[in-house]
Amino acid sequence: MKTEELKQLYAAPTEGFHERVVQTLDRLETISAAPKHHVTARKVAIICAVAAALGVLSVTAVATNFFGLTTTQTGMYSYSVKMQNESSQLESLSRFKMVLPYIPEACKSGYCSDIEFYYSNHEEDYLHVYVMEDEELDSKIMNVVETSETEMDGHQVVIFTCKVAQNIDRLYYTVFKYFKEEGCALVFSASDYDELMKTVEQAAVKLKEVSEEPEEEEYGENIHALKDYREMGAGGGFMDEYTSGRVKNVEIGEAMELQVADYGKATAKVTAVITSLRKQDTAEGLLWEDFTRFSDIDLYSRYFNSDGTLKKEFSTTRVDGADGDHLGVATELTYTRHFYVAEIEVTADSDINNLYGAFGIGVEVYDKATKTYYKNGMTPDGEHCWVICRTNGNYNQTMNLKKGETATIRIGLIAENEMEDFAYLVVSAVDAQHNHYQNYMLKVKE
Amino acid sequence: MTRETFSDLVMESERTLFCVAMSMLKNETDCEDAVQTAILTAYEKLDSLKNEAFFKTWLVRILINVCKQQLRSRRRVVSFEEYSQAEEAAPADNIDVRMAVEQLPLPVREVIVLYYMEEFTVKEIRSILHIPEGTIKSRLSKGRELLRLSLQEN
Repeated sequence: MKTEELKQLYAAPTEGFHERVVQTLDRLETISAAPKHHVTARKVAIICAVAAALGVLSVTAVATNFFGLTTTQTGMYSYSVKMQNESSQLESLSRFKMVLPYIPEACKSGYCSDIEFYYSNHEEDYLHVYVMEDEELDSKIMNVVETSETEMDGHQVVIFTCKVAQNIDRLYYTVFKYFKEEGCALVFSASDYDELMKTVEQAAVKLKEVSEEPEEEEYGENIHALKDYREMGAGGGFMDEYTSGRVKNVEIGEAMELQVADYGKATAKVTAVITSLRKQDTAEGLLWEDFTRFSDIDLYSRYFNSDGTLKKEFSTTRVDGADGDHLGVATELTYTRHFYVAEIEVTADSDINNLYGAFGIGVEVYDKATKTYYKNGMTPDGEHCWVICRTNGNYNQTMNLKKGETATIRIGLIAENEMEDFAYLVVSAVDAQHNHYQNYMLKVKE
Repeated sequence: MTRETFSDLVMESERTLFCVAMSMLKNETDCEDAVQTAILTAYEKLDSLKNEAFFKTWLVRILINVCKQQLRSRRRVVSFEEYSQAEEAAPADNIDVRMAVEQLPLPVREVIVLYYMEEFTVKEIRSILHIPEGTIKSRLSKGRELLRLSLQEN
């Protein structure tokens, strides 16, 4: 399979589809885009309402009346459209850090940073919390059903609860928790009202302290080659993490101090040590479940015999299609599998949720001589190198550690044919603010 | 942004909208509905887009949300007739690849489609799907492997 085949997987849009798009665009004449000229008026009203809340007047009547007059029906997407798309906004929000002491039990994975927490289980439930500067509030608050004020750690806080309809038959709630002194609001959106309110109750924002001198980057020898790789225009996204941050070679037994994105609690710290990396001809030390959880396909049976020995040799037929006519030549190919097992001991230097999602352990296939990813890291000829099992499985599994606790992650990787000579085990992590990319590489075959 | 500019940007993204919706919904009629809803939603919420440069990723994200919503509300069982129609819509010479892609788990499939078919970068996909880059990479890796295995079996 070639990448080109994937690009051409769906033909050009059909005539019917194109016609529908054109009809839809024609309909826009009768629909108004969100009216921007209301923004200023709303902003004034909100500021008045907040000022009143902090003074003697009751904000409830003011805000309810105001929003009662300007309410328009809206869908969930108005709150799901992210500010993360705009780098300028990210920059202005970087002084904030949100604190979420309570997160619903189901929310163990998703997207998290200092200013945003997003969780969706791809079913009905989601929780979305993000920081919004007060300039944004005017265009966002609508459908207010309740307004209240409270004091939290000495800060006056105004809470707007809004009801948001989605597809008429289901209600979602959005809550704006406005912090006047900080000049920002925490915006909460979720489908479960009770859980949402529990989250809102304890949530706070903090202004981040001015950071010290930026940490000096330490580069291993690989970084130069990887920079060359990027300058060659080969970026394309897939390996960007290596070129945007630290890359170090690591030895067995050497500690890697990692700042990782801990869902719900921003950046956490762990120390990881690759304690061993050995070649095996059996699945000894690994659990069958570790293979099945990692993929929807039973990888254990694919690579191992029932007695646990590696299926070392295998053959397959490759058909080379001439310009995709599929009338090409069939070639019998024989492969040799090499199997390695690595043990990585991870100690939590602070409490951490979702250890498995916090950093990545993978394999990259890099050719130092040509300073490129061997065979472009792809599998045009069927040869491959990849992680086939991992303790406790895939990204849907979670594990929480308390400070000082240690867990051992064991991975198994397959390298086919000469890929073994070019394989590097890579441990990579990024902090919650995406400021510090950390990548450690260990050559698999000595 | 004027309505004309909005329309132009939508037309520039038409192929991407088609591919993303088809890969998720596998049905042209549903795909048309989803894209229509996404365009209308985007237009109504245009004020939340602060930078036109991000229009495409923003629109694709809205579309993906609409598609997921449709998948949730769609009945679980697809009739044989619909399935056959979906197969017929694929060009004959890449039916195996297309079926392999469409059999990928949704979280993996959407990453594969955005990266390989629509050539979004990992950072853009992060903006669209709101998942960490490490997760995107692992899903790409998993997707490639599952595709390879699936196509070998065929």
